[in-house]
Amino acid sequence: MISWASITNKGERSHNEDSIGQAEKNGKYCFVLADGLGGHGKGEVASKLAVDTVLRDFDAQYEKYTFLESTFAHVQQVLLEEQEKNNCKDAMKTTLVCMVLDGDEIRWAHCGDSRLYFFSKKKMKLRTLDHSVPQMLVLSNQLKEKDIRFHEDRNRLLRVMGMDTDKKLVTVGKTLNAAYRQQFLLCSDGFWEYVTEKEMEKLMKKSNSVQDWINRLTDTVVANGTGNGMDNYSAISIWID
Amino acid sequence: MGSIMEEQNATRLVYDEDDIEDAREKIAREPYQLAKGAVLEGRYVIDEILGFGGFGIIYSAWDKTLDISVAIKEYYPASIVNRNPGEKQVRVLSEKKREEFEKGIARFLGEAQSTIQFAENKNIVRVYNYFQENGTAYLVMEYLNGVTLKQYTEKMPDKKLSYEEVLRITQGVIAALKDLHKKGIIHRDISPDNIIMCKDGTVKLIDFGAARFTVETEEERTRSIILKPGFSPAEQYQSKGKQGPWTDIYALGATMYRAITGVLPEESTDRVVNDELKEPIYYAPQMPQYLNNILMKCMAVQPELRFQTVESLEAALYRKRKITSTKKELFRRKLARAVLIAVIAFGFLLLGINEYRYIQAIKNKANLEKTEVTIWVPISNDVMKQETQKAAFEEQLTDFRKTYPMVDLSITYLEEDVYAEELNAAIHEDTGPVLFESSYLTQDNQEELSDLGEAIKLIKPEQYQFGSLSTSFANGKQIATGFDVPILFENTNLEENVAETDQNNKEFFLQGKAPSYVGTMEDYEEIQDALAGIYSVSLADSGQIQFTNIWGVSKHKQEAQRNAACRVIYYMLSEQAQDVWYVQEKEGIPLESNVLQTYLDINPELAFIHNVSEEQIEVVEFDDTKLEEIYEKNINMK
Repeated sequence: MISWASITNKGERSHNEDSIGQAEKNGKYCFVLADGLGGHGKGEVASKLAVDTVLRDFDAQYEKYTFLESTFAHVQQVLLEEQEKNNCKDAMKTTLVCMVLDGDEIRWAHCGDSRLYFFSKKKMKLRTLDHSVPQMLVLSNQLKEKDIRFHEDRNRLLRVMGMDTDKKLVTVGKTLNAAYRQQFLLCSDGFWEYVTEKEMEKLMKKSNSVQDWINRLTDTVVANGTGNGMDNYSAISIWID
Repeated sequence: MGSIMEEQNATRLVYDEDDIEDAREKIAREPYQLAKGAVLEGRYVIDEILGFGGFGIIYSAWDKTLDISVAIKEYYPASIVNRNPGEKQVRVLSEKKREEFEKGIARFLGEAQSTIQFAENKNIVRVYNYFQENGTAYLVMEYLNGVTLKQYTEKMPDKKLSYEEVLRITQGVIAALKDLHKKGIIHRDISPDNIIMCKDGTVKLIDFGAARFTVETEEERTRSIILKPGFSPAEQYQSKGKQGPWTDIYALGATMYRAITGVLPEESTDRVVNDELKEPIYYAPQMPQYLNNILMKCMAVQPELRFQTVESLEAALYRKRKITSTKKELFRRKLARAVLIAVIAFGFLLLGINEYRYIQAIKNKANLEKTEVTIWVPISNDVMKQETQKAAFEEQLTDFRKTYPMVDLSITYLEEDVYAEELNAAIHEDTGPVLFESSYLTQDNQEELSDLGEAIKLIKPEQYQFGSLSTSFANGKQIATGFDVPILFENTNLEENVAETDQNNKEFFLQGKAPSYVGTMEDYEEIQDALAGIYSVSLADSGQIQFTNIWGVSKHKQEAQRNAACRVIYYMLSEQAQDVWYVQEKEGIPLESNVLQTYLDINPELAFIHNVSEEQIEVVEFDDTKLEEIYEKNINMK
């Protein structure tokens, strides 16, 4: 059985630049989350455009093996066109993380520092690697994993959708076989920065449903984040039982 | 320094007018930009749009006072201001953005001030004036009749340039950077967009928006910002990254890479994680190997493996010197570190008298007194070689100068022909040097040499070829930094039945008239040039070596001076100095074991030097008589 729950909130900001969405078609599922950047309304537009584009592609032209790459490319194209139209090449950008459940196969892809976590039997198995400066430092052994959350450069991103570049923006994960007692969490940095992986596991053990888990996680995020102009926070969780 | 390469004659000095016109993009006007005909400061009449980006708009304009064309940059951060069509006044979008805007103006004017001090440098865009008007700020610059390097390159077939042309452009950028760095300014955005190729052939560096990142508040830190590394090194994107001249050097290397190969290099931030950068020669096989290696050294991921100053990069280009590929260098350093750690660990187990002395000496490291050391350096009589020799000698003392700022080094260069005469005349006088090449001393004057114990106790003999034999001889009064061996050069083209001449004659050999010649490393390059591809080298059998670059200190000088001079000798034996003097400047064979290994890696045909046995050697001087003797012995053996 598949169940899911989600949250998106503007935190202590005036706008919510995060967007989330999900869709189901012919027994296949698509979950998507985006965290917009660029200020005065443009971030909101970017994340919404990204989520809408992915869901539209999922509905209209889903193809198992190529969907993620092609829909990310499509999002990029849409964003660049909109930037051109609105004369805002320096704004209207977004992170993007997307997961598709197709039969017994699970695929995901991401760009930026919005994450996908994968748990099996309530133990964390992997997470996507951020396209950010602290992640770069971790990968080159200059920083410890646990120090990412407090690193002074944690807001410096190396890849986001809508940036003007020739390089490949999307990182596609390895295909995973679906199995019982798997849990997934898609979330923006405003969410994961305030709840550690240990806490995620701990709270999961206490939770009796995916909604319960999301509620508990959100409580922790709010408790830890409130007070410093807290960022927007969003998350989608999917449980396979 | 005049020019990087003599090949520059083959390069166009003036760009084709049509090329420039074609490459220049016509930019349409947006409604928020100042209208044509708008007047600023009562004297500048706005004309076309030359460019715009996130932080400003550049207009061409006419200066009514001086009757010249100028370029005017307007501070216009598009995300926080706007302007109604037809108006001049710039409005900040919200009061909350006011502070950000004001800070931006201050930075913008800071750029103006920092650029204006370089008015004399022809490779840096000139700033004439700056002022505030219309609620924002303006910068008046010289109007550059040219295109960006990016536009220029895009116009070329395969979107790339010849390496000769790139070298000429680089020379201009280097001239600009030398001045900037001297004043402590790091450009931070060297890229094909910021290098202008003017019609008259000059190359100009533009865009000094130096403070690209400012200190963020905690709230700002939760707002993501996007970095586009492009041509810049990874340390530039860390708020605590160690930035310096090497930061611009990486970007310059990447810019040259793009221009020569037509390929955008992998971004530094990706390379930190997984370095897949292909050497430029892979895409541009016609480029010389030395240049390939220089580019790779500029673009080393680790800042400490790059050229540390623009001057050293320039010297390398100028001398076309051999640069150890960074991969090899990295391996070598890792190895050296591993060895060092092993030695230290071992040292603590068996803290013998040598180790004790060594550690004491290191402890005393900071103890040099404020003093002056005069050094006399013999240089080639060949004027063409002198400049590079001087640059290399200076470079090998870089570390010393950094570590001991209290010691004032005063270096005098004397041509080899007059060195002995001058030295022997001055050695008893106050005007004589503290530190000098002691093999030029006459027998009588050997008595003037001071004991070099202060240097010898620092040196670890096992780190050097021939151990303590090389690092202290002549009763501990002279120390060599290099050595030489007798080399049997043979002409592989001459039939075996060509008779050997009965004399060891270099001229005959160079002209292809003699099948063999016994010489030393001094002859190596000349023979390589004259008989490229048809010579072979091997060790001439003699069991002898010669030390080279033998340094001595005058016993008449003050103790502080003598101690400092000993420390200079110690530094000349360091890896860094040995690398500069022997591997890069090719002044002979280095004694330091790691550097010797690199040297032999780069010159594989000299691998026979490995075979010079430590036990059975005799130290001699290879004068003509000695070489003749070895020649006869070797020819007879054949």
